[in-house]
Amino acid sequence: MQNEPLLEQARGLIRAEGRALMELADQLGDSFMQTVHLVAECTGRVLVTGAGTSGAMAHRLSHLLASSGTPSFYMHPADALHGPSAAIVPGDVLIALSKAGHSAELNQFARIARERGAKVVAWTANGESELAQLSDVVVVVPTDVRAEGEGIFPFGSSLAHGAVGDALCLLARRLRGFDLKELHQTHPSGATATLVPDEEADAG
Amino acid sequence: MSHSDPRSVFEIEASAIRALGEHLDERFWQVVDLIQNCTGRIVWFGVGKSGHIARKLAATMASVGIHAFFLHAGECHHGDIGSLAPDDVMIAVSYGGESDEVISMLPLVKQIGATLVALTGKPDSTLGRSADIVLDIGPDLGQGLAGWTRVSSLAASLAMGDALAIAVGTARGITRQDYTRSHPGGSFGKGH
Repeated sequence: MQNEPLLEQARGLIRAEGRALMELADQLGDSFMQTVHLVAECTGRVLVTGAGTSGAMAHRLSHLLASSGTPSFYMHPADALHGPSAAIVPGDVLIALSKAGHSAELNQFARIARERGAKVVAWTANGESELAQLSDVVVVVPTDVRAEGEGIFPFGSSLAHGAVGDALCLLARRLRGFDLKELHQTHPSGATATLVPDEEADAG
Repeated sequence: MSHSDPRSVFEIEASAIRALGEHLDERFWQVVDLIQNCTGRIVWFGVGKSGHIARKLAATMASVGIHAFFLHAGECHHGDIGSLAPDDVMIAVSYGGESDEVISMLPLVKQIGATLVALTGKPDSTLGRSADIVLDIGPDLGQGLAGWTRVSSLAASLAMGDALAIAVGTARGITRQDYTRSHPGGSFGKGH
């Protein structure tokens, strides 16, 4: 098979993903800022949950939050139903990632977290979903089918969750005043800390 | 010894593991043979605390040179079951054998054609009845101790998995040098 037509398909997908992210930037609004304040002012832990591809993005978000100064960890929704949800206390925030918002175990976990006094934030493409209805804050992260693999695989939608998470980490870091100098202490094994410019490190 | 004494936890776990060792039967060796003759991968399967045990046992098997990985039962409902192949041996860990995430996957496991081994304390459970071979890890002895959490069954599952890994490793003639080679980052790799 010729490579050029295949390469064009790959380029087409990446362009569609890029356009979807550009549109997403314009759609961020009040619910996103509510999330930012909940996370920046959280006195407990920020738990992030999701299953499947959303689970991979939830892992990523939890890692980036922790790296940028917000105590955070990941909890798998199915595991949570076998006991670990007992670790949730008032003051915690749960961010639940689910494209459709219909994942039964995730919704049950979110319900338990709310009952235990945590604030629940849903990131979903479906603002009418069960997950959205049971959450305190709903950030609708729209899905552009052209940016999904064959219209099915969660390619663009997972990138969209990643981008919203990046924006959240950036603002939470600034609002919390997490000192970039601390990266030298918390990233001893990686190259990240060496990227902090001197003037930025001095300014905090 | 009083159940409020933390030493009773050690007593209970030790007696569960000791009882398991005394009652090993031919089914244990059938599973060793299955692993020995497996042309695919050994797939450890579970959720919750049993999932953590399964993940550890996959790591132990891999470190003695057995091609093993862990599949999270909850993730299988979101696509990860695509990793399972007909020539694989799946070892499912579930004390009660009725966890929804585990048993709802079993028809698909059968359809794919993988061989199913159950590590369970309930051979008559849905998992036990679906399995090609059941390794009975016995009753959980911690009921009076805590009642609200599994104690000895998880320790027993861990011991059973370790015994499988070591039996297969020994049968394959794995040496300390082989083990050291797969542990470059740990104290084994540094010759301690």
